[in-house]
Amino acid sequence: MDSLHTINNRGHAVYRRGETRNRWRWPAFSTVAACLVYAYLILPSLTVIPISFSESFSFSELSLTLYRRLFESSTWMTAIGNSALVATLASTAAVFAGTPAAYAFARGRFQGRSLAQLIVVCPLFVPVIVIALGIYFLGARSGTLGSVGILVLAHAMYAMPFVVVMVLSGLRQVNPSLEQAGYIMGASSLRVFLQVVLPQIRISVIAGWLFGFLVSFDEVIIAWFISGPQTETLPVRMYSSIMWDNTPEIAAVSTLLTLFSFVICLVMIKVGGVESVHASGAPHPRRDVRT
Amino acid sequence: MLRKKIHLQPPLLAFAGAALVLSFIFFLVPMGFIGSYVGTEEKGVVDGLISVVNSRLVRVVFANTVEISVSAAILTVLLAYPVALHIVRQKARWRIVCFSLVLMPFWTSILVKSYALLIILGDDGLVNTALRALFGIDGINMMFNRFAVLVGTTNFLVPYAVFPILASLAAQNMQIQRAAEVMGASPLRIFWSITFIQSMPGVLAALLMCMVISMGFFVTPALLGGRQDMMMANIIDMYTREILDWQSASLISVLLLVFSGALSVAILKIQSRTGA
Repeated sequence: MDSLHTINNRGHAVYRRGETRNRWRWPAFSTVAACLVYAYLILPSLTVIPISFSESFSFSELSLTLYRRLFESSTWMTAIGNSALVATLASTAAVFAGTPAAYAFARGRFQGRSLAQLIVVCPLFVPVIVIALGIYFLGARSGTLGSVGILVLAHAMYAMPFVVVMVLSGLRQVNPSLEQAGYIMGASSLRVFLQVVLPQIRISVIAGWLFGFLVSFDEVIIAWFISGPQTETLPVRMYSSIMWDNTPEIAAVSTLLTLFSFVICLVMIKVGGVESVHASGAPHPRRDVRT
Repeated sequence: MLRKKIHLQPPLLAFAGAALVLSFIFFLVPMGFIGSYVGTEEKGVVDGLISVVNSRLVRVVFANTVEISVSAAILTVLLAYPVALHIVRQKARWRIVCFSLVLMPFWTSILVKSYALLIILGDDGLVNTALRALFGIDGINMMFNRFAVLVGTTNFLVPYAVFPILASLAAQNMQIQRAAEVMGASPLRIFWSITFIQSMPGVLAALLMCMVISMGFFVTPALLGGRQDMMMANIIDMYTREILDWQSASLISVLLLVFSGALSVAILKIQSRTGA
């Protein structure tokens, strides 16, 4: 067993005996430390799964009681519905506003371009609590606190930097000469954007939408400040549930969210993998332009 | 020639229009509101600032915020470093698996994590139940205190710290390590004086980033901490919605903005200098 490890770990240089053994000991320590940290990260979220299938913390019998109560509870179902609606609308708005903006920041030439980019990306660097307070003031002054509209648009603003950053990184891998060919042939910038650029960056756009959806779906602080009883989102419901009434349904919700994040993780790896393949294997149109 | 060049790079300002309007109304205007509430007619900015700083509660909360974010950042980097090192040493397939072990908590809602920690660390939680059953030890108080806040914060932050450290480890030129190996340096020495030194920019960026993120923490101190572990975000919430003192809330949030802005600038400086 020991010799197997040394063979696996050497690979390139020739070692004397003592050194090989020495070399094995250090990775083992860092591996053990890394595995402990993986456990520290993953295990807490996994503990909610058995809790959700049991009643009152006893593992003696499995039951789906909590899930039935969750699906029968109108407050929880309203909160889930609100979150899904707000996240879908906000992320869609963020993509519609952010994708062309990213194209303008990457390829456009206008006065104050970097200032404009800074303004759009700036919310990433501001603590959410400060943004939430400002939007609370905006809502309070305009009398729109508790409406769906302000929540959707606030989340769209908050998710947009993520979309812009993703699309910008996608655009970096697109050769601009294809667009320039379009301009030379007399296409308008809108047409070039829609027919030349967009097809090439579609994966970044999809990833940006997904990212925006998750950012909005997970967001607590802004929603805590500006959502009303009718527009309470799932994170806000969970927050108040843990804080005040501690309803047991939260175990079921947490399990569903853990599974959801597992699925998201798989999708992200899949999408990320496709994107890297897309980047390395020079895609068809680019080669056409060069030759 | 020049005209053709301009034509090939159109202005495209209109393309950024929707994004700019959205950012203006829901980011710049709100920031303007905060700025306008910093001073009121009966109490100017300076008087307001003096009364905020003189409040014992605010001073305790400031100290909490600094203590928690600094210690959480250091602990997080200590936890994240072996993970980054482990990931970077894996072969392609295992690297994806290990990376997803970091990515999954990154995508897990902070409320799920907080609830899970409540179950694990609470007075009737898993740890205390196990201790009682196995050793007959009466419950250890692990909930609603600084310990719980630090567990919750580090648990949340580790993925954020892994990414920059991983980037600085993956960018290293392996030839140097190999040269040191050939010259007979011990693995520990190679790690310490080559790998670790070269990853310092990533470590520093991770440290500062964790501090910025944890300074604005709201959910974790509110749910896992006690009344004495309030952080700046919690006191902003309290001033806004319980005390209805919008001036103090605005002043505190401006202070928070200044602190985290200074740290963010430092991060950008490090990243632009090293190209990490």
